[in-house]
Amino acid sequence: MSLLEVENLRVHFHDAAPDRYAVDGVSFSMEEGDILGLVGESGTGKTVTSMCIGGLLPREKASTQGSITLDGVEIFDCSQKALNEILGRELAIVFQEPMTSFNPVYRIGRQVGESLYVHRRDLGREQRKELVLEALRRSGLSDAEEVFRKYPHELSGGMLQRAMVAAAIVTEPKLLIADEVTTALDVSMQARILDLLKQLNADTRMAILFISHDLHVVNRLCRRVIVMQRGKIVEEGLTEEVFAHPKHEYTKRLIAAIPSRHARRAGGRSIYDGK
Amino acid sequence: MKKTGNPYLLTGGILSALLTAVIITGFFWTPYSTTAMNAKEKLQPPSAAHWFGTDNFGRDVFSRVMQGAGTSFLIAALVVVIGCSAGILIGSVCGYFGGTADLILTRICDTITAFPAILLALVIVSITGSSVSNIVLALGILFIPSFARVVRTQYAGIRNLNYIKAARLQGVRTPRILYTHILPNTLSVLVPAMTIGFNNAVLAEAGMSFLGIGIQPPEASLGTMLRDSQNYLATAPWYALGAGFSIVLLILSFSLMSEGVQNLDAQN
Repeated sequence: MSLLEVENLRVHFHDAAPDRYAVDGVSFSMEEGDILGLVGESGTGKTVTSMCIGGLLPREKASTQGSITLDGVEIFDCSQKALNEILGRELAIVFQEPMTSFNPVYRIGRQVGESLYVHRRDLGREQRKELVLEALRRSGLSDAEEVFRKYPHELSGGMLQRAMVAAAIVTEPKLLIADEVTTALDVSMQARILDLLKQLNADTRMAILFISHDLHVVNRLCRRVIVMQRGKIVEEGLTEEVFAHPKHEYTKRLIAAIPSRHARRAGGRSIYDGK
Repeated sequence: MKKTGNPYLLTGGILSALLTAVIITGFFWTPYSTTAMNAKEKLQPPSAAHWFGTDNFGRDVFSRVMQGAGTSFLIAALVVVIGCSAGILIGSVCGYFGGTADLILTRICDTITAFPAILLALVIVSITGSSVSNIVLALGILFIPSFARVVRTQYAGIRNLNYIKAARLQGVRTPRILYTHILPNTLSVLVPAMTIGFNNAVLAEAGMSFLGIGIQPPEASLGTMLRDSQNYLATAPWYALGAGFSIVLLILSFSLMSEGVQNLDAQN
């Protein structure tokens, strides 16, 4: 049995045209320890798909069809209570905009430990703090003690993004959905977050669904990739193969849009030349 | 040039501290008895013995102001506690969930606000009888909408922010989101609302007592003193001034302090 199984998922927003589906018949599956890339331009339904997996699509705004099973549990049949048990424990979601994803009135440590507070009531205060510090360190924040005591406005975007990853992995979930986590970061910070995700995947066998519009980043991280366009999957396969031999016209265009060293030379201009 | 200091906070703080000290003292000790009458000393002008003069029964006005301010202070504080806690409860549910419940509760609140609070309080207290607990309850209920509205607006905005989404994604249950994650973020608006509510409650209580439906004699209240002093306005203006000035001072000091706290908030 796969860890995550999405079958024929269709999402329709009530205010959209009757035949316009935000997600239109998407099926894929993930095994334990998988890293799957989900790419496509803005508005292709990547985030909507991830929201469905988290059971977060408000029922009054959208109707859904199909089936999503996480570890054998059908997400669409879950009550809110059952969903709360899964969220933060089995499934963690990290999204973009780290600067606004922390509550300004609480210290980082407390917020990173929130999942533990909610899901692991059996642990004492000190044990939870130890786990939080460990998660912060594993997320590449070496001065974990310091970060633990800081308020969100005292940290940089990159540090907050790492803290968000720490908050997601603190309960050691089976699946991490990373929705455009590297988009708001500069290139060196992107690389560090990617290395971090890779490391975590290797260490804990945590599966990662990596959502991005940046093929370059996906190429670095993911073993398999799914390309979406207008709510449909247009291509999927091993990342190397898709990149080497794109079959679909849309994939070809996406790959052509990656700025490569070669293209830069051909164009005779680089942002690094400054001219 | 850098502007230093916070004159509002300083003046408001000092005034409030002084008043609070006087009020607390008033609960235990007053220079003269607040109820014992003394026909020989009635309507005396201010003197070293009687700072605010004496009233038509020969009672020391300053002593009665001390006690009356205490009564007003207690009533106003309780009204804010009732109005604020119920307002938070209603406002948070309305703002966070929206929908039909929000619509109905908001309309009820609007309806209550449409009438002057003091008028409704008069009606309620006339029916239930005028005791301190009835006044507190009536005003407390009537002050709920003002808090509920402020809280509702805050919740409706904050519920869509990323850190609330993040909390939901961590499987945090709704009550905890409402009161642990969102509530502290509304304080910047809630605290000024509380001070304004406090001032309004002081005024409302004084107004009700002035109209003879609030605190009943012989117990002192700033409102009843103001009413009693009316008849002696020409012969003994200090009586009215003592009571009126105390109301003004009470409200002014707390307004200044809340203004100062808000400035402090804006500076940081």
